[in-house]
Amino acid sequence: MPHGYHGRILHVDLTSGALQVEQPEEKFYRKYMGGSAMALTYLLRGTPAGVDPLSPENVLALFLSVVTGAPISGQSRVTVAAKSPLTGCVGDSQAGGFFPAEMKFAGFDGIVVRGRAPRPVYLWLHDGHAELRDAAHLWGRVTGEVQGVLRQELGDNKIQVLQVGPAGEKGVRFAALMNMCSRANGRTGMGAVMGAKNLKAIAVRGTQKLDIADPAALQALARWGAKQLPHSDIAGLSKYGTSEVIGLNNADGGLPTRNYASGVFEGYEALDGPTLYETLLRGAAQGQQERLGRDTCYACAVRCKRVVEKREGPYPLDPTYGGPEYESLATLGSYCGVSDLAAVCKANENCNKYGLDTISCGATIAWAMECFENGLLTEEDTGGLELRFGNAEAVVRLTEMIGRREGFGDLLAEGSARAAQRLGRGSERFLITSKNQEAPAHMPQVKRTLAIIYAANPFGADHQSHEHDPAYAPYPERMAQIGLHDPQPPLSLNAEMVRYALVTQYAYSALDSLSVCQFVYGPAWHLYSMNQLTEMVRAVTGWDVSLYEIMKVGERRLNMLRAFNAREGIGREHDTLPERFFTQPLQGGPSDGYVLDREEWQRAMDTYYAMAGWDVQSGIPTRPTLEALGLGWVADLLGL
Amino acid sequence: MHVSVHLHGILRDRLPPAARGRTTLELPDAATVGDLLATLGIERRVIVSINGRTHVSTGHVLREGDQVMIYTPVGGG
Ligand code: SF4
Repeated sequence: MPHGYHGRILHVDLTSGALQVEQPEEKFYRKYMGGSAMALTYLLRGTPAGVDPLSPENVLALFLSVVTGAPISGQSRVTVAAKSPLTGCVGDSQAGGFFPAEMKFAGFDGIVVRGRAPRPVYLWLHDGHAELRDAAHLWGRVTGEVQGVLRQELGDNKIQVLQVGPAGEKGVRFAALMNMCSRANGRTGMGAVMGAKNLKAIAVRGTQKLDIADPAALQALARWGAKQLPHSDIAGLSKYGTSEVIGLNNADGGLPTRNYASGVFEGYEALDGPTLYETLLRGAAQGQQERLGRDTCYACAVRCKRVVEKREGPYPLDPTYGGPEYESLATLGSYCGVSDLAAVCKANENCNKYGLDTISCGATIAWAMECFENGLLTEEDTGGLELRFGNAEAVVRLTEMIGRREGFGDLLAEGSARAAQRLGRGSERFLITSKNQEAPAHMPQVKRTLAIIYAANPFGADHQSHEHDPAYAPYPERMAQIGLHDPQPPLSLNAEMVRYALVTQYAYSALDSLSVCQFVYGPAWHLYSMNQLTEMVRAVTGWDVSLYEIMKVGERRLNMLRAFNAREGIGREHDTLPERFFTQPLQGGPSDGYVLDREEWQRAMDTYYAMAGWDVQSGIPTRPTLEALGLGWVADLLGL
Repeated sequence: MHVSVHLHGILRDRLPPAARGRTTLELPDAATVGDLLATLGIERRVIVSINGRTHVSTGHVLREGDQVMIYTPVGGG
């Protein structure tokens, strides 16, 4: 009897309606551990090369891990992976909430979805059973309604629902999967993939408690974390949510403003965590926001999630849809030059209601705003919207129009890179994308290793794929656990910083395979260190696991992502950055004049591929590198 | 000498809410960033910026009228 997991993976063929349970051996679980790494084994084996991401042949994999559902903070997360309709590369995205743990309690470790249902369906998993049900009555409805209807018709308020909103149904290329109507597998358009399969939702409920190998050791670790929390470096994240990062990044000159023209935003304070806490968090008016305005993921003591509420004014806010994260505040706010907090919260609510990735959505609107400011778009194109930076109302309106693919929203629903291609008029020069994915709100000009990761990351620009530069120096003890001992001065992009980027990328890649929260576990400011993560995995699974083994899982997953792209003909030539990062110095504040040096960046990229064991010219993993990771089968697939 | 201090994130909880993280402190001449942090009772790992120059070391000597920002190095989100 395995500890921590069930040894059961559900295979769903939507075309035929067939459901099958696979029971892989223990060594499969030990080698990949779950999440993204496990999902990728199915993508690599099951997806035909060159597949259209929105076709029935695209494999969609949803995976938990061997620790999901254990009673400790930061373990309830799910990875969704498939070929991405936004990037044409591998797509990969994580989300938290109560859905992941509940799916585990329902008796499944992962779901592999193939085909396309002849008409809309939803998948209902409960206590080891799986069935497909008609979803005609749910099609076209927003996430809040669908969750309510499903809970009612299945007769249980504790049912958790992961779903595509209207945006996923309509193939918006950055459509998200939503759970709890507020937690998003946001990036890379996984919602469009599930929508194209006519799979509206996955509802889960279970009472199968997990068998933990060493409950006493796990409890001791959980208690330590809860006690340590107020003294830890995530105390601020806990109280103010990720929204506190608005003030922190602005102070550092790293808050993207007006489509990355500047790293400081004059209106930052209106969007900052403490302002949100004091004004729009549910219960703020009565001083009850600690109780009413903070939410959590299953068994997590950190409670960093926000819930906003507002009854009056032009932007009433419905607490069903949670509240904004840092990324959403920045991309729908400063990125667009908007400092109206209620409007930004409303735009975030619309994204959660229609099922849109807030990052791509905000950044795509910012791109359109810059086009408008420069006369490349006019009111004739936008249907009368005066798309100037700072126009809060336009941002709110556009989130709806994109979600419904209505009017000008239909163009933006393609993502900024495709929209620029369609529009022409030189609008490409305002793109802030890598591999067609809009860059998040952490700036490579300020935190230089992001320039490597934004370019090289196989699923497009991503801020949660390695540790950011400022964390190297302050955490020598924790960094030493993963072999990092030599912090470099700010703005360095030398070989040691490349090593830092790659090694911490392995660490974050392992976190996404163990499907744990990157605020709770990690190599720096996190509540638990990487060694403590290892202890946690030992306590849950009973395996005599080491940090070396966990880091190797991360490296394995990164190589599989890269290999997926290689098979699609995507290699180093696609590892690019927005031109602006090299040519347009930032304006104002502490980062005034900051710009990337192209030659230095290229040298760093050379070093990065060489350190990773990839071919420096093509950026593709070599056979020996894959074989050293036990991935000879991937080398075979690539014909290396 | 007097320096103006702006605390961000959880650090601003050290001051009354109405201060919005801002205060002016009187420090002995030649006080360092380390002395300032000690005065504020900040033992956490922080990043300090002075007059817009970020990542200033704890040994840095402060001057009259300096504008100091203090914030924590949380990465993601
Ligand atoms: S730290 Fe926040 S995001 Fe992470 S598991 Fe806890 S509540 Fe969820």
